[in-house]
Order: sequence, then C-alpha cells, then structure tokens
Amino acid sequence: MGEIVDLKRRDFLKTASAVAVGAGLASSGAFGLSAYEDAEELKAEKERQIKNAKYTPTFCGMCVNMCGFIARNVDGKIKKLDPNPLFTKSRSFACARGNAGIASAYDPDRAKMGQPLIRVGKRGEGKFKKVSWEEAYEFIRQKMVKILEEEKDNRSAIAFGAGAGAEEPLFATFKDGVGSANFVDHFTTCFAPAFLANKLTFGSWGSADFEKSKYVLMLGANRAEAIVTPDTLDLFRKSHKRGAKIVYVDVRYTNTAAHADEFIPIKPGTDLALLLAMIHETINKGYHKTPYKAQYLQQYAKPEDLQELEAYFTSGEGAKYTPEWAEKITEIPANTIRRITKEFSDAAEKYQGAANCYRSRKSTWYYQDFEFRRAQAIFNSLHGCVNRPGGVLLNHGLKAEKYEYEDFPIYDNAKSRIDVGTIEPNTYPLINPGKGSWQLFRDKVLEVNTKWRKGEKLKENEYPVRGMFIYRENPIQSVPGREKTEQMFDTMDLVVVIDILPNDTAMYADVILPDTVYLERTSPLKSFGTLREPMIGARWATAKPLYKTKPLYYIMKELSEKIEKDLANITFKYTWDEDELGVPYPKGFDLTKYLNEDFSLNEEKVKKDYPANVAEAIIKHASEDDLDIETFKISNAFEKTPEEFNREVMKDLYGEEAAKILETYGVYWPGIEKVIKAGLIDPKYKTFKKDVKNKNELIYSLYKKYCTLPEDYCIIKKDGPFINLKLGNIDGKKFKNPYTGQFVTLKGFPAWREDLFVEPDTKKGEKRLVIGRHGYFTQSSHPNNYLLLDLMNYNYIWINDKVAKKMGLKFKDEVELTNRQGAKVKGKVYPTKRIREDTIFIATGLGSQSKYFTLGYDNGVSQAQIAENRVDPIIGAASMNETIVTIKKV
Amino acid sequence: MANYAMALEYQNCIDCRACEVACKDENEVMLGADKQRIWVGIVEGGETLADVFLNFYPSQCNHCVDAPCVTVCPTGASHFVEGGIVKVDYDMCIICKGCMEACPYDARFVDETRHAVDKCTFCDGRIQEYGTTACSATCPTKVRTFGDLEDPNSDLVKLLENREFFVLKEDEGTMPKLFYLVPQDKEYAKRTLGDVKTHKWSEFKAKYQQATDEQKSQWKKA
Repeated sequence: MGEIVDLKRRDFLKTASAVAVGAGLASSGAFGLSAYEDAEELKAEKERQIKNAKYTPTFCGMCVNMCGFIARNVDGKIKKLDPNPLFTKSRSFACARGNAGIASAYDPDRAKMGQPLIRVGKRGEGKFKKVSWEEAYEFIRQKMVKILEEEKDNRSAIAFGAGAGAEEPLFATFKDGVGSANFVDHFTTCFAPAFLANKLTFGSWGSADFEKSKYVLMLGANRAEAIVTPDTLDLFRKSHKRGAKIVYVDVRYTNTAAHADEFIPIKPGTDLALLLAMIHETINKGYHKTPYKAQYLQQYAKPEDLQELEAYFTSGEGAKYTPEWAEKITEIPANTIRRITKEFSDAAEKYQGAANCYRSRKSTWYYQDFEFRRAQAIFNSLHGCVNRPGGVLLNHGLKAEKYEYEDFPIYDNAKSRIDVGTIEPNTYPLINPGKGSWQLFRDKVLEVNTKWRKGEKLKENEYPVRGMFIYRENPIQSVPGREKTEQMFDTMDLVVVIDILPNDTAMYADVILPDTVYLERTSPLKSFGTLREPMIGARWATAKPLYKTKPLYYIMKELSEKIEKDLANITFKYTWDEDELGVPYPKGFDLTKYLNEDFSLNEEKVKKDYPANVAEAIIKHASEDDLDIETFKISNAFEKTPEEFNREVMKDLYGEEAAKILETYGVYWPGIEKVIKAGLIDPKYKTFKKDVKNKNELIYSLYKKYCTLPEDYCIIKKDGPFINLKLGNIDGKKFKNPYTGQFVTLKGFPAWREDLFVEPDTKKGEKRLVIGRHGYFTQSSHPNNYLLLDLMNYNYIWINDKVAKKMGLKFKDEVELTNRQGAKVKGKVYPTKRIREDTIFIATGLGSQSKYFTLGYDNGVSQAQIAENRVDPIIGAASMNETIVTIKKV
Repeated sequence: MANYAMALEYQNCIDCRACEVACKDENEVMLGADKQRIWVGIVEGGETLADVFLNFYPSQCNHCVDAPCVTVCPTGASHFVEGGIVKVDYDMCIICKGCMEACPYDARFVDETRHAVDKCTFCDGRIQEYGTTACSATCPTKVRTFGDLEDPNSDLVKLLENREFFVLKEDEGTMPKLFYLVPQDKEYAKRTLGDVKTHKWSEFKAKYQQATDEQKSQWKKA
C-alpha cells in the first residue's frame, strides 16, 4: 500500500553507499572459543523444534476465504502456519493475514476477555466484571426469560447477528432453536448487489474461472489487495501477457492496476453507465450474433427476452446509452469504451466464453449498484461467458452435509422480521426476506425501541427487539452510521457478544462470552463448492484454548441446555388455547417442573398435582399432536461435536479412508489418496516433501492429474434457457428514490437514473469518499494485530496530490471530514497522484474506539463513522460510497 | 555442498507482504515496521492518474558470494555458513553497524531484543527439513524459487537456464544471489527493468562457481 510509504525501510533504487573497508580484514571470532556457538545453538534449536513439533491441518479464520494451512505446534504453542498444498482452494498459499493468525491467538489483549464478562458500567464505557461461565449463562437465561415472558413469547424480540465463518451454521442453529426471525449478517454490508443481480439473472452468483480466462475486465475489484482465493492467485500468474488480458477500471490506481494491461480511471459511481454503453455497443454492432454467441444465446436465453433487449437498446429507452453518452458521465472516452467492448467480444467469441467481466465481492457502493450488477450479468451473458470454462461458473461442489437441525418447533408467536415486516409499500422491492438489511434493521429497532421505552403506541408489525446475540461480527465498526448502532444497543435489555477479542461491539455488550480463536477449535467441515477444483476442507484444533475460552459449539450447546426448559415453559403458556383445551391456562403452572431430562412430560406428576381435566389439557397441549414438547429440547441440535460430525459425515459419504485423509490432511477430494500414495507429501509436515521438484507448478497440476472427477465436473450442466436477460418479475415494481422521495418504477432491463446520481460539488470543496479493502486487515476484524500493524499502522486518507497542495496539506497532516449527515471524523492524509481529484479514499479496518485495544485504540479512521447511512433503495444493502464530504485542515 | 540462491518471478508480486509476516513467524524476527528481513521495494512513476505506474520488487538479503558485510565485520559475527548463506552470530555482534553501511541492499537492521544486527538467513534450520524458505512457501503467486545453484536438476537452475535475469547493483561486484527473472512481455519488462543489464546463466555460472569454491573453506556450520 502506497499510504504506508513511511514504513518502508528501504528505498529500492537508493544508490549504494558501500563503505570500502580494507579487504581481507581478519574475520576470526572475537570471542575465541565461543565463536559461532550462538548461531549453531540457534540453528540446532530450530531443527529440534521443527522435528519435534505436532502438525495439524486447519483452515484460516482471518477472513472469509478459509485457506488451508498446517499448524506447527511447538510445546503447546502455535509457532508457524504453512500452506497446505492439497487444499486446492488456496493453491498452497497463506497471505499476510493468514500468517498473522498467530497474533490473533497470542494477542496480549485477549486475556482481557479470557473469561466471561458481565457489564457493570454504562454501555460503551468498557467496565465489566469477570464471571464464571455458569454465572454468565444464568444471567443470559434470566434476561431472556424476562424478555420473552414480557413479549408474550415473541421469539423475534431477540435478534441474532453473525459474521461469516465455518461456525456460522452452529450459531444459525442456535438462532433457529430460539426461533427468532431477526437475523442479520454481512450480506447487506458486503456482497448483496452482485449476489442478487447474478442470482436473478442466471441462478447463482457464480465464481470466476480465472485459470482459463483469456480476457478479464475488472471494475474496481482490487484483487491484488482484496484477496479472494483462488481468484487472486490464478489471475496474477497470468498477467503481463501470460494468458489473459487484464483491463482494470477504478477511481484510483491500486496494486491491481499495477498488474493490469490497461488501467482506465472512471468517475466514481458511474460504472452502470459504462456497462450500459458496452451493452449498447454490443447490441448495435451485433457482437452477440457471432456464431458461438448466437448459438449460446439460442440455447440458454429466451428468444423473446433477447428480442426485447435488442429493442430496448436500439429503439427503446436504452437507445440513448451510446458510448458518447457514457463518455460524458464516466469520463472514459467513447473510443475506449468501443474498443474494450470489441476486445471482450472478440475474446469471448474466439475462446468460446473464456472472458469475464468480474463481478466483485464487496459491491455495496452506490444507490445504483443493483442495476450496475444486473447490467454486468447481462453483459457476461450476451457474450456467452456464463457457465463456460474461463467465464463465470455456476458451480457444482462435492456433496457434504451442513451442521444443521431440522426438528425445531415452529414458534407461532414469533413475529416476522422487524425490517422486512415494516417497510413501506413500494419500497425495497428486492430486499432479502431471510437476511433483511443491517441498516434498516438497526434504524427500525432504534426507532421502535425508543418509542416503546417512552410508552408510545407502536404500529402494526412493530415490536421491541430487546435482546441481541452477536457472533463474530463487529457492526459498530462495519455498518455505516456508527452512532446509531451504538444507540440501538443502548435501547436493548440484553446484548451478548461472542467473540475472541474485546472489539468495539463488545464494549456495548451486557455479557461477553469468549470464543476460542479458530486455531484452537475443530469446526464443522465445509464443502468448498465454488471452485474449478471442488474439495472438502476441515479445521481441526491445533492447540488448546487459552484462558477460559470455549469453542462456539460448547457455548451454543451449554446455553441451549441452560435456557431450553424456561423457553419451552413460556411457549407452553402463550400458546395455550382455552377453547381448544377446554380449560383456562392453569395459573402459576411451571412446565419446567414436569419435564423429564429428555423433555418427555412427567404425566404422573401432572396428574398428581392437577385436577383430571386440567391435567388432561396439559398433557394434550404437550402432546405430539399439539406442541410436541419434546421438540423444545433445543440442545438436541448439538448432540454431535464437530469432531464427531466430521468423522460421521465423511464416513457415510466417502468411506473410512476418506474420513482418515480429511483428519490427517485437512482436505478431501476424490483421488487425493493417490497423491499421498505417490509420496509427494511429507507425512509429518503435510507439505511437499523437501526433494519434490517443481513445487510451484505441482500446486496447479496435482488435482488435474490425480482427481478422479470428470474434467468439467465443477460446471453445472444446463439444458434449457437458464438466463433471464429480462427480469419479468421485477418489471413494474416500485422503489423510492432516497434523494427525491419520488417513487420510481423498475423495468425488466437496467436503466441509468440521473436523479440517483449525486456528484460532489468540487467548487465548494466537496469530495466523494470511497471506502475499500487492502491486503492487511479484514474489515474491522483485527485492528490490534501486532503483526499486521507492522505492515500498515494507519489508514491514511488518500487525497489527490494537486488538491492537497492547493489546500496546503502534506503527508500525515490531520484533517477533519464532515459528511452530508453531519458525521465527522479526524484523520491524517496521504497525498498521491494515484487518485482522482474529486475523490478521497480510506481503507477499512482501523479507527477502533475500544479502549481494551492497546495498539488498535483510536488509531486511524473508522469507516462506519464517516460513511453516510445510506441504503440501496432496491435491495436494502449499504451504499457506502454514496458519501460526500468536506475537508477541513485541523 | 549446496550453494543456495533464489530466483524471483517479480512480475507476479502483488505487494501482499505475506512473505514479511511468514518470515517474522518462522524466524521470530523482532516486531516493528522497520524490522523486516524481507520486503517489497516499490517504485512509482508517472505524473498523473492516467499515466501513473507502480513496480514491485520483492527483496531480501542477496547472500552475495563476495559479501561486503562479511568482509567488513570486525568481530567475524557476519559470516558464511554451509550453503553459502550469510549469517550473523548474535553473540559476536557488537552492533558497530559497519555491515549495515557496507551492504548495498540495505538488508540489515538492528534487532534491539537480540542486541545484534539481524538479517535474512534463507531460513537456515528450516530449509533442511522443508527444502524451501517460509517466504517462498507462503507466496500467493509463487514469486520465489529457492534452490541450489550446484544442483543442475534443481527448479532454480532450470529456471535460470531458461530465462534471462538481472541482479541488483551488479556494478558493486558482490555477486548477489537473488536473480530477478525478466518478464516475457517486452513492454512490461521495459517498464520494470529500466536500463539494468540482463543476463543468461551461462554468463554467470563459471564466475559464480569459481568464487564460491574459493570460499567454501570459510563456511561455518551455522
């Protein structure tokens, strides 16, 4: 990263200043007998450590990629993580963050939440008392009982928030056991636009088959820094005319730009206009009618859709989207747009779809994201690049079961989601019914809880959300509108944070439950299906948990056991139907006293304690035909430990040998046993044997050589038209323009909407703020990581060097940014020619306000603080770059 | 006896700096942004956003055959070990920093925790078991090929025989052992090579072999 130039000790081309000291100067040891004893002892110790260590396969937990590593455990401590060469997803690689996982485990600040904590000060103040696990569980039980009793068994009064990871199914299982409709994860702060657009257009958001791509068009997807495996690994071995042409479009010059054959600067927020012009050019030049593509479209798209699309871009509303039109909006010359469209088209035709207009991952940028990503999906489809080698693959993975449970009861009193359930008619037409929207959820909970606390009347479908469990997510630092998230937590009665380090969100918790770091636990296995080389991966515990931390599995199981009887009791009460059962609910009845260990009803005791007709009603209500009370034992869902689950699933699906391979090597794919028999892998270190030749090439050829699956197994076979060039089901639906308040009608084809695009008024000193990733921090997950802070100790605000000069700003000068919603943040600038004059940029990950972080506290700029609280009006995702700021020198 | 060296497919480097962290873990290098045994050199060119460019040059100690840091060391702390690796004996180092001055590559720094000058050791102690360094193993795009210049069948020698390369500051005459492979794309090569001289292994082989042979008697055990 250029902004950390000050950290660069060495200036590569600095002229040498070698001091000519008399050659042949005596170099015998100055300390006589002990010469080189120290060096010898250190080397011997290193060899001893390596030889005597324990090696366990795991996969990474530092970001969502989950790359495969082998952990070296020396005397109980993880000393090194080496890449796993059999783990095809990650191509025998570990990035900076992967290597820095060790610093996550051994972060000294971890001790501050080495046991459960209960808040004693104000929320956010960071005052907690240490408690035992039992005390923490009991505290949570009492609060949950109070909330659910008062909310009359509305299970949705307790919400759940989760970050992505291998344990997410365990947490989601607990959520389903409690029965809440309110679940929010990173979907709407991350990949919702790209995911939904692709899913609606061709059924899956697909993966990039860069290994076989001949032409790659990247729109702001900075794969050199925002690493995605295997995309990053495959792409940059083919750059510089070694197999693929890479064209990169962005508002700043990144490390990806450094490796592109062509870098094209674009005005922020106008990618949709570029894509519309490229579709316009494609259709009007007939690029989609070349032999391969004509046949492809005939086979996979509906002819009437194609005809309508052609009409839209030739004589309809889209006819105006010419490259000249786009030039005015994007500032990319029309000729360039024409040329790259032609190049893409030619490559797609020549190589039968092996071109890719890359769909990005984090795509929560602007209000027009959905239409932008739709246009991208249409563009890829028109050129025959969907579900073709080298294009966008709709993948087929290896069969594996998920850790889940299907026998939970249906809780009739649980209300529907607070966000989706209360949105105005004709707004957010494509909001995800299962995941809603972090911001809409947060804003609504804050609004309703505030009204409820004041005793004001609530509207239909509104109810207070009084509790929240947050697992491995840090919404205070990741969801735009930081203060509102803090305020929301402050309106709740129970906030439980399950995490490994005392982050910003933990500071707002009532109870902190310390999870283990991923290196210390076994996780449910995972089928990595969105790959050319699909595989199953497993994470096995590589060291004992530090302090009194516990793996999530045990937390969920023990908590379930703690609360299940009381929760069943509440449902029992609030589902009592007097008409049906013939008697009123027996006042003071306590179901928990009548449940056996397996949740069967102790009928004898009921009959003994209650008159016959009441006892009969109780027995009936508990029976299989009514509540089926035995299903309320939610801890049944956690019967198997992840270890047992992994072994069982593998044995059942792939047999004993496969189960053993997964346990020994952390990965399985059909044929892997042949690699092991071929003697390429060291049985102890589980990496390539030291004398194996051609390791760098083997990483790519192993699977191809030994896997017993057919070559294009990963590609789902499609028979008929699976591509929806037109989205008939959204045609005519409405959304509300957040800038004008007007209702707008969606069409089956994407459209540019001038009034959804607001530019900074540069004459008044306004700038567009763009937020993005880099290779050293995963969102807000590790601002305190001592190894990563050595790589990047601050997220400087990128500002164009000419602009900086005019403002009298030098590197590291402090400025204050103010956005249109009044939020302010202070930060230091990095003037650079690598960014547009109308734009400034900050990287995610820093600016934590948790005082528990010795290194991370108040270091850098918090994105959640300065990003405007803006929500995509179509899908409800964040529009983080829809942020315009003014800059003041401090 | 091996003579270790490294070829760098530097056109693959994305400046992700995984190598720096892997190195810190494997070798327990002192913490601190300026305490790196390995780094990515960055050269920025151009004037505006439209013509700006960045070149990345992953780098570390060159383990020169004729290492000025060894020559200049008054106590013998800087020394060659088996495999032609340049190392520092921490006990013998008096932190006079002569080696830091002498090194044309700025490959050394003071490790205050060890009270000595520290530098890359080609993962001596690891390579004997894994056959490769931590930086090389972790690299996403496999920039580095570590190997033995005296083994004609090594991946390293094969690469050097098939590709042209350049070395850093050749004029210093130190015979460095990091070989930067010339990118195949002429345009990109021009951007990243500047006016540096490129070579074939046949031009270097005999010279390196002879100089190394002359030196082997000095090689310590560790």
